[in-house]
Amino acid sequence: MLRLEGVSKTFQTGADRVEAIQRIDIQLERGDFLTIIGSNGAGKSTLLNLIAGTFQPTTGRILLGGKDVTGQSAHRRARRIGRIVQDPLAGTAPTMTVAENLALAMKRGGRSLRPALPRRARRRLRDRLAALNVGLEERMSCPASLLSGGERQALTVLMATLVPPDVLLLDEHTAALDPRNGAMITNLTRQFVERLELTTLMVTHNMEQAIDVGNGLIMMHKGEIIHELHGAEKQSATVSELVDLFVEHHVVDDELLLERVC
Amino acid sequence: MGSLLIHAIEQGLAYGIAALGVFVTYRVLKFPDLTVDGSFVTGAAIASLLLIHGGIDPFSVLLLAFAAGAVAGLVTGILNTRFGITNLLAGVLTMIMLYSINLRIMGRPNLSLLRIPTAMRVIDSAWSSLGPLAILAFIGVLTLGVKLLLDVFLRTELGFALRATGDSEAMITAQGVNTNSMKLLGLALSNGLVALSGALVAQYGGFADVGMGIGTIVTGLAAVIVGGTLIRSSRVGWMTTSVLVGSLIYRIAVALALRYGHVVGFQPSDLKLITAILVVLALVIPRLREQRLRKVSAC
Repeated sequence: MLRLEGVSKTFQTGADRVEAIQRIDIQLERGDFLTIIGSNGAGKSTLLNLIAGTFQPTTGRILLGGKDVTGQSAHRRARRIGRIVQDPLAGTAPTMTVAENLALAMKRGGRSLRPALPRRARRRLRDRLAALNVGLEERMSCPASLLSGGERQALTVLMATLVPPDVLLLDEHTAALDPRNGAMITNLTRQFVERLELTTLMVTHNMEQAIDVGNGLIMMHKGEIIHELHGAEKQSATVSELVDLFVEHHVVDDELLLERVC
Repeated sequence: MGSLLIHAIEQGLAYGIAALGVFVTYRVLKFPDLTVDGSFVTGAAIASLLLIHGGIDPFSVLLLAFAAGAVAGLVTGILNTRFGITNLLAGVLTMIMLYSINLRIMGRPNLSLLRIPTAMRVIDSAWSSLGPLAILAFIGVLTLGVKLLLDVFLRTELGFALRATGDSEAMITAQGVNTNSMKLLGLALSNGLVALSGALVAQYGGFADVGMGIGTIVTGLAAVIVGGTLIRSSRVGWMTTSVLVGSLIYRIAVALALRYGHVVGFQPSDLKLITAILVVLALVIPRLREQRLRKVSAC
């Protein structure tokens, strides 16, 4: 479904060169769920940005469903790729209502002069909202700016999957939430991904979550994949093993040290 | 007093279309567009030229003025999205270009529509049963029609995408929308409305003048902000209504200031200064109030 072949990204500002991603290969089949961990600056978000088309790779190819999409703009690729970022404020239009936000997600790509939110669509969206179990179906006429972070992120998850994408990108989408809401969003995401068999990549700082969710895990450092775990190997992994792996690769990170102490 | 009020309402409605244009860029797209000071005149100039020399009927010239304004908006949009010039500068550049272009269109700084069958004169005789209210009725129907069409558009998929572009570009890009196209669309629509308003005001006043657009952005903002303060709603229909209400209040206040301002020492030439100061206050007061609230809640 998704293939990255020798993808690299170099940022150049004046005399500074940063090799954010170095010759990365990834292959995901339909329904694969890959979690990505790594220290700050490891290139995790850059990797998602390259897949989404926000950045174009310096070298290498990106294939989506067998088709080469390298060089295609982000909005074009968004017809087949769903994306949720860390900041709950970034995933919704704050001055538009819950229903209007969802209406935006009823289509990927081109827009027409048809009414965006006809009455029968409103009823259908209400059912979808009710299935989230956060009470948003009663607040469809509420501007998104009045929702809490957890409610907004739940809405964003529904928006990203309303038209099932070929690939779903999750960029630390639970990191800005308190633990209870974070767990709620993790569960919700897992439900959607499993039911719709979505090919998913999830960046996370939470190693427990990285092991718990999905069927593959990659560990990144300085733009490279330094370790991969799949299937049973991943199911049986523990947080302390992952920390050991990081230490083995001389990755030092405050958060990692904290994980070890705790 | 009665005719003063009628004239103020007529002006409020005619300029209200320009305020709706400013609303599309400033409120919906969050793109402060200064092109409008030029495109307002472009609408007036095109309309006057076509009425005097083109032999085109006074209602069709409104549509042609809209098209000319839309092109001006596209220029600003291309400068901004294609060449990366900041939104304010892109608007200023187009506005300055339009100053020369408007003079070219008119051939001189001022065109008189004396003895030309303008829309107002046609309506005055066609709707003579309405007496002195005929012009008011015509401008009212036209402005309301424009408002309703704008409401319908803002409720379409394209309209939703336009609103979302102003709200969160990253989010609507992730939904597969090209935000650059949306900005072009919004700027074209906005300047089209402003030029339509210019064409209407020229026919109403009986002349086009190269300086008549100065301050369109500020009076437009005054209408948007005053209306938005009085009527707070996130519903499209109420938002556009608030803009027209703001425009009406502004024009009535201006009429009263011009009539009675001398009592407190105002001159007609102080109008733009006072308007700008009002807009500054309207922008600053909510912010000050917010800061004070924050201080209280921090304690």
